[in-house]
Amino acid sequence: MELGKITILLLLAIQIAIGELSAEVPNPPAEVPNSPAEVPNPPVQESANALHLKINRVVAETSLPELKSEQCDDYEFVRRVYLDLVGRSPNIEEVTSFVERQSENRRSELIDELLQSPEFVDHFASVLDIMLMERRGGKRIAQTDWIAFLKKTLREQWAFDHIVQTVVAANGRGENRAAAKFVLDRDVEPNALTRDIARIFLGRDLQCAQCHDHPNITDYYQSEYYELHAFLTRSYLFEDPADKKTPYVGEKAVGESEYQSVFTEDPTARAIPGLPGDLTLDAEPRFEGETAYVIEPSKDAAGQPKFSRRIELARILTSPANDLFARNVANRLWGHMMGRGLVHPVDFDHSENPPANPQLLEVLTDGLRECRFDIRAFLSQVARSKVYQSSVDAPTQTPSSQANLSRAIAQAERQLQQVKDDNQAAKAFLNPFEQALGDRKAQLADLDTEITAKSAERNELLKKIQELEKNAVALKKSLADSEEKLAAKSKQDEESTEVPPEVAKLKSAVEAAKQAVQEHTTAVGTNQASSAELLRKLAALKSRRIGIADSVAEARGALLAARRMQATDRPASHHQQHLAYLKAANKVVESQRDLEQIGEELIQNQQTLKTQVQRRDQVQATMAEMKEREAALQESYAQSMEKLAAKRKESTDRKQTIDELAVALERSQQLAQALADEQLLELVQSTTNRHKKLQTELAQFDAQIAQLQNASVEAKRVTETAKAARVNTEKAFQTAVESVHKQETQLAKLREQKRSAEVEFQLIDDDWIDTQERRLIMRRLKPLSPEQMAGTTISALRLDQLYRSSAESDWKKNNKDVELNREDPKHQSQLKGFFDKRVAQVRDTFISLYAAPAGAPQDVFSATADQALFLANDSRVQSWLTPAEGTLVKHLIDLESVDEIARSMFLGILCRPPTDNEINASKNHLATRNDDRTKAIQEMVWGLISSAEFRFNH
Amino acid sequence: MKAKYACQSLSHTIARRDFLGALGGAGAIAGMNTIPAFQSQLLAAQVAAKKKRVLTVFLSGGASQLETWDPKPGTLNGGPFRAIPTSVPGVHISELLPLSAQHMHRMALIRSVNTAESDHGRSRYRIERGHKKSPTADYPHLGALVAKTTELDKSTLPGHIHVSSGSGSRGSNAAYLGPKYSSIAVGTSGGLRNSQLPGGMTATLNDSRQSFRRMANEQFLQRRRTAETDAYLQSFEQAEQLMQERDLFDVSKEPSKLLEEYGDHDLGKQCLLARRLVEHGISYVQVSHSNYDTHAENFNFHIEQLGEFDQAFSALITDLDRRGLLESTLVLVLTEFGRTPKINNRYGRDHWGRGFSIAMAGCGLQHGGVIGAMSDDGMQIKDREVNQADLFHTYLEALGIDPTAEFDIGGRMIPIADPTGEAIEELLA
Repeated sequence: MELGKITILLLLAIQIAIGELSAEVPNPPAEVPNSPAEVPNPPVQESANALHLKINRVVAETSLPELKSEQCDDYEFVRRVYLDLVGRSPNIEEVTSFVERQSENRRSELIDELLQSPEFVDHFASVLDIMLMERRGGKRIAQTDWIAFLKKTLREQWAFDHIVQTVVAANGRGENRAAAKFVLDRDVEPNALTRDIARIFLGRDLQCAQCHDHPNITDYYQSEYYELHAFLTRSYLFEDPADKKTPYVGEKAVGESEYQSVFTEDPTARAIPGLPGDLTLDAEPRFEGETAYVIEPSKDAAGQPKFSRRIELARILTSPANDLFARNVANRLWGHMMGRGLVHPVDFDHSENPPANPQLLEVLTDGLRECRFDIRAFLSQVARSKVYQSSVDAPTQTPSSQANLSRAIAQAERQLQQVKDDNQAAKAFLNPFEQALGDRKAQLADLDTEITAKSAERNELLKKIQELEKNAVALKKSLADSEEKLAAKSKQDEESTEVPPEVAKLKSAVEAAKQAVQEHTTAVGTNQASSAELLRKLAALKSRRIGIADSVAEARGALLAARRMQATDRPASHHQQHLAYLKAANKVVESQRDLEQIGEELIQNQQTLKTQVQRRDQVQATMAEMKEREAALQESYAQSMEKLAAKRKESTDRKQTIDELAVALERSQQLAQALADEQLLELVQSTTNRHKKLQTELAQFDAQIAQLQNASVEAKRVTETAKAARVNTEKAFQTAVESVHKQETQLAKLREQKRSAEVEFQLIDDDWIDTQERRLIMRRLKPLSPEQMAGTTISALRLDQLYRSSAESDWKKNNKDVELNREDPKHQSQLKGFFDKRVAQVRDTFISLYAAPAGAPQDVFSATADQALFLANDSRVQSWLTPAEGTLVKHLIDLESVDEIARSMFLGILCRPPTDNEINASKNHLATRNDDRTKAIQEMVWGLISSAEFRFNH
Repeated sequence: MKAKYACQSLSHTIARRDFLGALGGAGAIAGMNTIPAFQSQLLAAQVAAKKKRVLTVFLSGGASQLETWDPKPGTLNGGPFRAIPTSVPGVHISELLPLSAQHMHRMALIRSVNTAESDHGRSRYRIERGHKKSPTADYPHLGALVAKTTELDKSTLPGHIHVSSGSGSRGSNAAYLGPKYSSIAVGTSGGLRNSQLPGGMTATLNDSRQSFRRMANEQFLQRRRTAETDAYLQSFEQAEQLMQERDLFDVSKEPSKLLEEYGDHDLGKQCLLARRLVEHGISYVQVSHSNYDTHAENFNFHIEQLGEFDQAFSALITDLDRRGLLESTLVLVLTEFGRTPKINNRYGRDHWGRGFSIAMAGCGLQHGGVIGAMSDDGMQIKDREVNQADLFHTYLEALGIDPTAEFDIGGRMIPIADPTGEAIEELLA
């Protein structure tokens, strides 16, 4: 690209940059005071610039308009804010007095009252302890001393950065000895300190980068690890032999961090102390000649250098220039209030794990800086924000119709593409500037190479001249020697007449030497001339270099201006997240639709089955009728056959009789004719008539039989027809049974599908809930920390009352001859000591069951069977339910009305009045247990402290 | 390149799916559709049949390799005991283990373990955690690893149990895997802690308070549910089930004749309880036997301790084999380190991490295999040196778990086993 063009672009860029600057004049950076005394009480910010209003704005801008959650009611709010700020739920009186407060600003008032209460100091000391020490226990600095230190910082309103600075720089001496716990309890081990300082104060878990660049995360480098390590490598654990081996932090004035990747063949590198983001230690003072120590390290003394890299680290780490620190603290404090950091996990801030809401994190980071790292001011603003005070209910609106979502998704995809295109375009725009700068730099490099070469050449020449001059001196000396010798010889030989050969030799040597000197002188001259020539050339080159260096600076300025104007890498992550969010919503809608479809299909199929079953039953009924009829027909056929057989037999019998009669007649006739007996003949005649009649009768009878036979054939046919019909119906029945069976199988399959669709839906819904929580649309249900569990148990069951009286009896046991004076500050603090011990027992019980292991992140949730077994059966839990003066259980037992019992129980334990349903359930429970009211009350109280509502902060 | 985030990891999804599937049993949960119990039980049974488990006998204090699995009779450092033949021709072990010798065809030995540590705590850390102790990171106990990696079933039982003489609480040895996988101590007398209703409470009264608890949950969960509230509710159902199954943790339910086989002493009881537990599908059970730190009177102590061990171990293997459990159970006999070959002037042997033995039995192994060898004086590893990382790779492979896979811990990918190790392939079936 031509220079002219660049200049035009440059001017353009600068103009635009200036325009931008003047449009948005930033506040001058506030000096961060390091001494707590200088931290003023922050003014109550209620202007439009108040942080909580900024939070409201950015949250509103970055969420879907149709998915707004409601604000929580006063009951929900009071429990939430007590838990977050003082570590316990409010008791009945506190709940009641809050909800009955007339002031419109009662929420803000309560926030500030709690922040100013001594309980905040106690609670937040434990929050800071867990954040900084992750339950490591008291290895070298007693836990009580450390907690006392933290409480002091909170009482005196130390700014967060000041606390951190003190803790990192502490060496275990002086007033704030306990502050050294962070360093001492990690054994002053540079790797342990590097890891935890990066994790806890910069939000970057660099552990993998100890041995190589992080394999999964592109922006965690091994060099980064060692640059931080280099600040710490000189510090060491010193146990004072003269002081019962009390541990201190010693430091040497020497020692560097060197590293080599275990993956690559790169040579060992030495790290320059620094923090990510170009915060390097550039001016390390040297103490040439004098000692570098205030106290020399020795067997008897912890070293203390004049320049301490660790103290320097403490300063740079917490300096306003360190964006990562402010961002990390803002994220952690936000995480404390909301149950999850915007960057989650809080110590895993990197480009592949962007904050859930980058704009919000920026607002919070700036807000934290603006309130000068004042913990109370920051928490107070967060607690005032709408998103903090939003209801735990799922948004009432479902994620709109799918058509809307599809449109929104398409739009988000376009936006994402736009950002990507913009980035591409910006890159293209910046490319010539980068190219120009590259070219200039290359030119400069070429020139530098030439200058270096020429300088080297000249140096070579100068060396040669020097050599020649040295030689010339030697030669001149030898010429002088020769001449001297020649002169002596000549004098000695003046007397002699002939020239001795030695003299001749000497003369020629002198001549030769003269010659040589002459030649040398010439050579020197020539070389000097070339050197002068080179020097001229070099001067020319150098003056050219100035021009080129200027143009490099110019090109760099142009690039910077262009960059300001056209930032590349406009973060796409926000758009990506928005898209992911819409898609998650879409997935829920789809999954729900699938589930509904399957449900409908199931209902349809159930209907079909019903029809089929009806039909089957009808066919079965018909079949039964047919069978009956068939049987009847068969019966009648059989009867007719029987009758036919009987008639046939009768016919045969008759025929036989007739035939016998015929034979008898014939004989009688013959006899009668022979005898010619008239009478007899007459008899024969009448008998013959009778025979004829009989024959006629028989013929008639046979005709009847033939009729009967015809009828029976007909009956047989009818029966067979009926049978065929019956067989057909049976087949139809079989088919009906089969189709019912098929339908049943189909239904079972559908039910199975529905079940897995339900599981699928639950999983998608889990993701959806998670997404909404991350996007701050749904408030996260925060599991109580073990400390909050203890505090809430004590507060809900009013064990504090019990422990107060136990503290008095404990005191009396220990002070047998003294009268207790509750006004005496000494007695008061002793009583508090006994009281705290009781509380600590409860706390330790919960910690042992509910806390994550020491040294691990403490914000993980686990629900295990042994926790549930503890709640169900442990004698300690039973003892908390024992009625004793002042406790909730005792109070409930003393109440007469069931409504009152239910009300006090729910207000005391869950900080809200019971619903009608719950009042009825309580009534029923008590009604069935008239025999043992105390136990019944204990059971209900147990049921409530074991409920999910109690276990979570909502 | 890509890290997976908290709630989308595969293991989370599977566990969640299992959980949602298992809800059928606890039909009382509001807003949840139920799945027939038989289905989940069937699944559980299928998984349980394939499920591998680990039973570790830890010889605490550092058992002598020369008096156990790697005798060197007749050498300078060999000590007074003979070597005896075993059920595998050519393999000899100390005469102090005559019963165990008969099980060699079900076992495998490693005689060249080097932890390079001679401090009890540090060396034990290496053996139990598979890593060297580091100031910057804590690693989970083998039991936590096994419990986590074999967790696919819906068992209500805890996965990681340490049997002890008294009943105790939960250990803190699961590091980044979280307290769910920390060891739970179960005693040979007390059974599982808090698994009995408090005094004066009957089953009916318990039902009544549980139903009030469920009622209280309904109101809240109609407003809001999350995976975490589900898990919390489920933990109570699990507890109820554990109470029903509490006999499982009660060694006195085993026939007394069987206890005689194991030996009527602590170790015998512990081994019997351990068998009872693995039989019921618990992933990892560890028992320990102490008094091996024999700086003085090494030989007398080993006669005494190994007498108990030999009986209990042999009975354990016999019992597991008889029940068909040896096919799915990996038995480990570990110790934090061995003892110096050189005998000191108190007839003792001192700490020795640079070459000692461990024994294994059961699933996934080349039975009868012996890996590694020490020099004749016992001072140098002559062949096939292995360290704790190699051992962990070997255990996991024997269980069918890929030791080179990674856990996704809230977006951090953490290798299951120390990636510098390698499984002892020739020892694996």
